[in-house]
Amino acid sequence: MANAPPAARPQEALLLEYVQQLEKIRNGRKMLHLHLSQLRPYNRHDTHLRTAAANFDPIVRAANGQIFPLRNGDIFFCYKKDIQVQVDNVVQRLRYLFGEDPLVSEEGAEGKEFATILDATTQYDDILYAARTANEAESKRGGEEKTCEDASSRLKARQEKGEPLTPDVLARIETALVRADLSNLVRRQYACSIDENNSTTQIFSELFISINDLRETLLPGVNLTSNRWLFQHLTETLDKRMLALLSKTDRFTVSGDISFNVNVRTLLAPEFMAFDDNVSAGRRGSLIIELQKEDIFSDLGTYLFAREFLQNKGYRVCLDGLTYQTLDIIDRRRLGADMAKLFWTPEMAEKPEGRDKIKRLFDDASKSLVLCRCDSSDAIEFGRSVGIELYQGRYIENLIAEDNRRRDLLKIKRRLEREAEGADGIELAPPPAAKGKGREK
Amino acid sequence: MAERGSNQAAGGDEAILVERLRKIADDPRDHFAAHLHLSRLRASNRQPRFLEIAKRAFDQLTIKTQSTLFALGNCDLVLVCNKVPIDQTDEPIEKVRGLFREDPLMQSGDGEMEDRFVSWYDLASKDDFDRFYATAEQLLAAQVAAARRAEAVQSASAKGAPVTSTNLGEIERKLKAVRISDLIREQPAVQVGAGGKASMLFRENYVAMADLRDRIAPGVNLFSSPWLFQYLTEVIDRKLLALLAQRERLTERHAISVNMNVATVLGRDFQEFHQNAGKNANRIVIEMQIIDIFADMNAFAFAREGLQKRGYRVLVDGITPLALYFFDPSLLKADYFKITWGPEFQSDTQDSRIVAARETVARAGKDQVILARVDTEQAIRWGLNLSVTRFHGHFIDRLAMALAAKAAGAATG
Repeated sequence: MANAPPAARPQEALLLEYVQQLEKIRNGRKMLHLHLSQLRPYNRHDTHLRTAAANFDPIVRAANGQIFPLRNGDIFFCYKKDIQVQVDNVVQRLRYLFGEDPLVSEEGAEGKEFATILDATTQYDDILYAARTANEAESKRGGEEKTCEDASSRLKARQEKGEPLTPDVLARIETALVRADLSNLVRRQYACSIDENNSTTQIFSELFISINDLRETLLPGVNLTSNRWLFQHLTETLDKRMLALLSKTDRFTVSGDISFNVNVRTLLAPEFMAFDDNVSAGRRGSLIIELQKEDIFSDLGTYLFAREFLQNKGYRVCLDGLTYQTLDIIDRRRLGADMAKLFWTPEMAEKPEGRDKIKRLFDDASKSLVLCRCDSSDAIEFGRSVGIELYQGRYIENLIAEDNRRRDLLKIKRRLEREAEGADGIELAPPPAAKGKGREK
Repeated sequence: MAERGSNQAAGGDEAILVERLRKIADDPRDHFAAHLHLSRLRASNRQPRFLEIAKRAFDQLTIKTQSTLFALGNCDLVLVCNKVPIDQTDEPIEKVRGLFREDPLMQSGDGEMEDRFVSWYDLASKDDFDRFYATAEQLLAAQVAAARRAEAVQSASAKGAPVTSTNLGEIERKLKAVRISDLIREQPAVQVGAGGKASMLFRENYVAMADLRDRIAPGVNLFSSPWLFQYLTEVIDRKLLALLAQRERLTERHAISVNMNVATVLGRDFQEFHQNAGKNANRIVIEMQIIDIFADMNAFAFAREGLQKRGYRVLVDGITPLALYFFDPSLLKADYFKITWGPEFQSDTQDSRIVAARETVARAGKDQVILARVDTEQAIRWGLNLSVTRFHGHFIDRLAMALAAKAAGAATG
């Protein structure tokens, strides 16, 4: 990021400045306000918002209007009256695009407004008010962010946008990967069952190479995931490094069942054969190979072959990457994996048919289905209501940390109690081992 | 069998097998052979990396017992055992059978007793021995001939170097700069009506990849990595859109189709294209690949909806008959689904997968399904058997040409 441009001024500030100047030339101008921030979260992804903004490109290029895409998703668009028809067309098109969203389908109901058009000639004050409100909300948010984020995390946020991954950058990374020691970039995340007290039991752990840390180590400033296909190619290289790490060290093989992601193509490469040769037959049963659905469908024949091979050898196969949108399209049972991972998204709980759909499709799989990317208690609440038993994600990591804290506190408490007892009476023999839990993981 | 590689040119394992049989002939007691006909698998299942894994199934057996595995040039495997209880061979052979479970070779028909996959020979019996010896000699002769042919062909038509991250940047730069207007080809998709009457659905416009390869990366196999190929198609998309927008193609009578990535459809270049060509949207079919769709279903749903609402039709491409057994394309809400036929599916006629395919066609609606890569009449029959009436492929090109000639004839005479 050495030659990064000075931080750009936020769109909200530019909008306010623009509106202030508009006062002198307000005649014949209008302001369109698209309330995209009110869309459902799953309709508010970057692709959606970018597409919405791109619809204005022709008008902007013809210098007939000025667009301000705000951070919260809203769009302000200022234009001259005489292109009203063009603007109407764009708005109509966007209404169509987001037609399924309650914001559009229930437009007119209280608080449901997709687009507002304000005439600068007669409603200038309203426009100024809207621009000020947007700007204040943004500076408030920015201020909060600054106070609670340290410098390094702000840097990180900027890098996440970062320089895009190009073929040349990819080549540099792959060259660097040959020499890099990745063992300290391996992270683990647990898949757990959770009891009614939110206490966790670790069932297996997924090992993965932290892409963020890899980037920091090799090429800070490059956004490795900015191009889906180049990233997918990179994962094939990472697969091989991961396999080498797994077969080389005992470090990862000490505790419990382990899962890791690989590409289907990697399973037939010499690197996997070498890995397989190094794994004892008994150990294979505790290894779970995770395969992505898009990878599977890019070459089904190879997947079917590889799955059979893995299962014959005793490995377990996990179908990874199921989402709410894909789970009824894909025939999970016929694909014959031993487990499946479903990405949690709030729409599962929000959509009226969500619960029934998941119950119906995973009726036979409650023990082999992992609800992952759980980032809040909503995920677990939902999972319980449909009979899911295994969970993974940031929220689960927090629960585990909490569990550990609780356990540590309990230990300290016991020690204090013992010490108190010891002080009271005669010195005792060494205290008995903690009961019940066995060895701590 | 560690020395295998070095013997390949001279007749490979076939030569060693014949040699071995000659030795056994002196005292063939307790010997038997199993001939695994992997050469009868579908071509798509005969990949070297598959066969490598199949061979590994016998590792334990050949280490622990007096048995040898011969890997033949035609992909067959021959197991020769001495004083080995025959039950011990069951496990590895069943493993291999399992690996190829999806292949029709493993699916014996009703009432069929014959095992087309394995032939057994009791070498102690003179009859069996002679038959197997003759077979081995034939295999050797075939292998020597094949090796000679391969040598001649290899230098001429090597599949080429793979695309890697190292040469990708250069290929992309050349691709961006190269002219492709003369590399655009057309192929019609046709509806076959009652009584064999055919009518035109649309013409697919595509870039001739072999010619493009010669222009930007001669000697490179652009398909070697599915991911890097997909990356390059995004560059091609943008060039194709720019070309189509200015071409007269859009004002022709027939509809056209083009392949696009989901990301392209959602991007700036397509917006621009729509500004120029939007009035013809109802005569444009946008084809999107399954691999691209599955990578981000949300983005696809959004793109599809946007296209359909603006009047375009959406086609899902890249579905094999095999895939129909594992997912239901009708839920993707596209206007058309293209099933890619291949001769390897000829043998599928009645099994469960055909049933699945027929169900999918029924669910999606037969008018939504187009059978592609139709190169022979057989393919058409296969499709008709599933009630498909819309076709695309070389065989159809000839049909379309005949159609055009007839139309011209009717017009002039």
